[in-house]
Amino acid sequence: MTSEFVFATAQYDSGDWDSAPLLPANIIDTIARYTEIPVAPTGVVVALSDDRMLRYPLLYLTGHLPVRFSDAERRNVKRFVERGGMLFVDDHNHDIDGVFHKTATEEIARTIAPLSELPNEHPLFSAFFKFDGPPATSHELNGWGDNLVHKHLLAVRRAAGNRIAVLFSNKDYSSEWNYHPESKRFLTVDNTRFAVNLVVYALTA
Amino acid sequence: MSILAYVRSVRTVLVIALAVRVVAVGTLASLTMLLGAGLVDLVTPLGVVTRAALLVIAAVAGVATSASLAWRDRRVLSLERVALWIEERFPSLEFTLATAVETGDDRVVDQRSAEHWTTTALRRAARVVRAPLASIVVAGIIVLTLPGGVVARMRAPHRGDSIDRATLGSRTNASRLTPLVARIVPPAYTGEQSTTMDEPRDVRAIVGSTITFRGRGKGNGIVARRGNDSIPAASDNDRWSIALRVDARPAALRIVDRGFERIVAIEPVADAAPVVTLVMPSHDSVLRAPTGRIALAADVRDDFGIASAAFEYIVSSGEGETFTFRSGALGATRPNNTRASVSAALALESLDLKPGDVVHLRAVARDANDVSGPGVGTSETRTIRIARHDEYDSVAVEAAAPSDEEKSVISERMLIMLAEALEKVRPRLKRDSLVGVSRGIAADQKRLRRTVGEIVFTRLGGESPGEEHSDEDSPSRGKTMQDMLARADSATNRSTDPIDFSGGESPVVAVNQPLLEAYNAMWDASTELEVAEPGRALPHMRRALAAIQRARAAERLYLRGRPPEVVVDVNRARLQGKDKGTSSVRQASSASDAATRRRIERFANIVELATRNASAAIDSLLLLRIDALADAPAFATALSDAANAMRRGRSSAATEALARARRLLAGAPVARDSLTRWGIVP
Amino acid sequence: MLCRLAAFALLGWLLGGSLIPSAGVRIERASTDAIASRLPAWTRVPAGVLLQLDLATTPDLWVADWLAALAHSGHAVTWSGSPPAVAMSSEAIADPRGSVRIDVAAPPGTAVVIHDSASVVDSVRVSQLGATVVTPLAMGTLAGNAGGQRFSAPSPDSARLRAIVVIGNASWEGKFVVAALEERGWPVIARFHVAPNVDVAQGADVPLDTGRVAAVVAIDTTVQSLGAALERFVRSGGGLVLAGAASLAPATARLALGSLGARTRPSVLPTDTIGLGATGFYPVGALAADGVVLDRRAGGIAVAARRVGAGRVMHVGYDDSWRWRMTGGAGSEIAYRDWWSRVVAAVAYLPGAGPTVANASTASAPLAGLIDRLGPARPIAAGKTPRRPVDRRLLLALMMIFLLSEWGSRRMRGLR
Repeated sequence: MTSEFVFATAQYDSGDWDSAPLLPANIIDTIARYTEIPVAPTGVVVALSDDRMLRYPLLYLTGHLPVRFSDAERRNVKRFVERGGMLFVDDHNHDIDGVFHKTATEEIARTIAPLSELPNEHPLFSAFFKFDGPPATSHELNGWGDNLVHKHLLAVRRAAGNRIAVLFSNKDYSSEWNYHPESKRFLTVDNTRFAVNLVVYALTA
Repeated sequence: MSILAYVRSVRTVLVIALAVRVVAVGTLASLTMLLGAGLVDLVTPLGVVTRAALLVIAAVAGVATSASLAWRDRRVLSLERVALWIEERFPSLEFTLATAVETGDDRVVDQRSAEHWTTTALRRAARVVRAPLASIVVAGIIVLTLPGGVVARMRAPHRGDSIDRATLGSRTNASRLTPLVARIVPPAYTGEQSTTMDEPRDVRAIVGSTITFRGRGKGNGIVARRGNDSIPAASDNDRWSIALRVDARPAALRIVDRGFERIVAIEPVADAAPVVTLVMPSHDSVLRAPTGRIALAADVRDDFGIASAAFEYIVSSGEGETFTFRSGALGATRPNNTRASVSAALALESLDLKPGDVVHLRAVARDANDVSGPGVGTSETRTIRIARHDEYDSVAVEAAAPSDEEKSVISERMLIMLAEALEKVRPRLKRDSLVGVSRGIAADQKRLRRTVGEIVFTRLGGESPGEEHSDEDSPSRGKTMQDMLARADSATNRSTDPIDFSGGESPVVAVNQPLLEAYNAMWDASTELEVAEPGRALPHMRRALAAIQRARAAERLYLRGRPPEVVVDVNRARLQGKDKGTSSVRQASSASDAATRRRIERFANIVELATRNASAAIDSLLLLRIDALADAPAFATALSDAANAMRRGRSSAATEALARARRLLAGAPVARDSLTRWGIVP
Repeated sequence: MLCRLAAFALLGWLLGGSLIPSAGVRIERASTDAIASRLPAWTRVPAGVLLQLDLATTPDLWVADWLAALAHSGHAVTWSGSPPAVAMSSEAIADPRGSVRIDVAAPPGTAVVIHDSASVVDSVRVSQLGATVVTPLAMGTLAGNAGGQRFSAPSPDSARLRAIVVIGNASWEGKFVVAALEERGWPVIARFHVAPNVDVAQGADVPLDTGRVAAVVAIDTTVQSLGAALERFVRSGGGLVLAGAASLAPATARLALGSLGARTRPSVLPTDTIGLGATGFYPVGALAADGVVLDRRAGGIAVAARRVGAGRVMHVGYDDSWRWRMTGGAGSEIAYRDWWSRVVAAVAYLPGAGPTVANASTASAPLAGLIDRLGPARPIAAGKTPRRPVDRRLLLALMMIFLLSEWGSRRMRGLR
């Protein structure tokens, strides 16, 4: 077992959990580019129903299809959050009227607590780079999905303090970041910088 | 009348007298017991169970007394015995009557005295029943003089009659909080019976229940405090009452009457959501063909009653990033029971499924909770997938950076929204305003069209259009693009790899043809918008949007199998980013056990108080218990045990409960069997 | 006549007994259980009476004080026997919850039960010279019972805490150590290194001194940034926890417990729950001469501590203790929190009074208190115990009887 940061993607039974397969490599590359955080060169996929998911205190979950936790998945997610883990969920449909958003928010409310808007002054947005709020994605600017540019992320925050236990995004970062790290050279502005904030926040908050 | 008839007449009188005496004595026995118990209850209250038992015992004693008396005097039914009885009172008969009764020959009897026999019997009867009847009358007078509550409590003992109990003497300054009765009426939807408690200290009630506290005396000056709320008492004859509703949080209710106070803990019982177990299908499935019927079965349990249950399904169709969803329900029932089995059948043909479609199934049940909203219980979800021909899910590969058309300043979708909004308000707008707004949208449409055009040209190797040129709007430009498209297609489409493409098109054509269509559609749309016809522009704009979406879908190319795992060269990438981050501040978080520490302090104070004032310590334990009910139920139970033991004066049980409570509260001590100056670390 | 003579004889005996001192010494004896009830009577006996105590356990302090007073008033008080030598001290631990450590000295094999005003705290059987109990909650007076011997000590006041500095790279270990300490109620100053000139910090940048900081927890070699201030802090009384490979930092060279061994790795990785140290640790290679081993495992010394100047340093070889919290069994997050709090408490600087040490003037060291008042044990005096003196009231009654008999006989004679 390594003491490096390992990017973990959550696998769940009910949907297309692997809809953004290049995202982990992209984020790993981003972390290495901007920080000195020791990071494993590849990500891992870990099933929510497996107790080993607790070994990765930051988990990334995405998809298009309905999210319905099995009893084992629900049990593990609850334990994961209670012990201090952070779950990052991104709606790959970018549609608040879509089944992923509706079902995932329902499962989160049922398993942990209801989501609420995360203020744009939250320390997450200044954890490494400074953002005025969650950066917009090209997909939401294009009107993809629900045709809205979401001004806020949603979150479940812990009772003691302002810490994020579950971060929920409707902004389709899964599409935004789902490309080979080598393609970064084509971009004038690295659109994965917010991921650095996410990881630094998770490791220090 | 014959002699035998006279004897029978006498027997009748004696039997009636006996019956009256038997009943009177039996009744008197019961009454005496009950009166005695009532007088005892007047001095020291008897519990409901005791009084009910005494009632039964009194009734049994009365019946037993009557039965024994009747048995003792049963001989009065015998004619021979009656004859002997008459002989005793009329010696002149000289046993002739007994002989006559035995032989049936009444000629031997002197009939002159026969007329007096009945009279004598009547006198005897009167004497026999006089005393018991008089005693009953006396008992009745005593009952009438007793306070009403005494009789009522003995006649019909039930919970809550403690406030009807009379007391010996009354003090004007006495507490009106004792006796205290609580009536708990659960919410109607639960179907539960209401209950009554005497001298309540802890009341467990379903959330939404109404609790009414009642006591003796007028209500003025009596108030109940729950948190920051104050509820004054209402008066009704010589009784006061306070009613409140149970909410979801445990609470300590303080009822105050001048200098007197009583604390009642109110412990809410939450209505649990139904528990739903999906029995069939028992596992996820992958089907080759979307045909057949799938049996659905689920078991539902609820604590109070299931209002409705059904199966819900969601059908997801599509792949990559383009999905459509449909949902529905079947097998809906209204069980109105605490347990139910739900079943249905899902006909796959009715869902019009295609290869790759996924059906998510689950059972959902709702209870009838109309207090805090229906509780919803759901089962696990089963997934039924219709297999694709290749049996694997598709995976995206080598997706490039987001293409430029996705970074449009204003999206086609938003332009459509603007045009639709303009078309809606068009009747109300002046012509000038309509033209102005419409041309504004047209300008944005042109910019978007130009962006798309630049992408297409760039990809096809054409020169960037650069500055805006008037000949850009020429239809011949489109033809040039088509030509270039065809040449690019033939130049690139040489691969022999087995690649699946949507519609059999080559990558170049698949990506760029839709963009070309979008470009042309946008052109038509902006033409209409220029002449202030947003309604005629909308179909072209929607065509452009659909084309853009097809182009996006075509960006994702699918291959068999999983993509190669990308291994990042971390060392090479290290600190190569152009941008630099900035230091940030971490917010301190509060102790997660702040509530525990406050409870520890309170617990220590209570232990110290117990040495001085046990009654106050018991009240404090009760309040601490209420505080801990929600998040530390085991600790709350230990406190309750300690309080009960202290109330009963059982000090060893109280100490044991306090020891348990402290461990649950603060954790168990750690001991080591040797001395160490370094503490106990591992 | 005879009665008169007898009465005079008795009178003479009484007079003589009060005027002429007895040749032998009067001895009063009592065992442990009876002493308290005999004290009022002994207080009235004349000085010079030898009071001998046969003690199985040391009597209560007030009894010893009373006996000391009798000894000062002229009575000879001696004692014999082998009451157990026990002593107790209590000390507030550096713990936001107010834990108390109770040290009990008792003979090996003694069963010790400790309780306070509320209930029994804990019980333990002594294996060597004594036992230690750390209780999260102590109320009122602490009392103990060791083999029938009772002793007590007051509960100490809560400790006043200073901040804990946690310093390291941004990592799960740093995050969860800070979380555990904060959740436990410790004030924490944190410094996490993320990138060149980029840190995540919490709390004011205070000078490293015992006026503000109780201890430093070094997650890794980032502690080097503290430089020489670290050693000054420790030598002046501050605490230092060197976790993982932190002792490789040159700034800790003169503070560390010894050389650092290669990180151990288990041959078989745990497949389900992970306990503390199950994934390996950095052992101490060659332990310093003054180091104390606190946790030894198969791979070496996992936890050790030593004093450096006025301060204390602890080596904790675990660099991924966070796995215990996240993947341990039920309650692991609480156990993890408590464990880290105990680690820090073991080294944290604590201002104010130290332990309420057992001494002869308190009930916390009964035997010492007894010896202090009455001197050491002495063997029982030889010879038979003299008979108890005849009760003078009996003699007076006899005298009255004789005189009445005399008077009665006169009267009888008169009648005749």
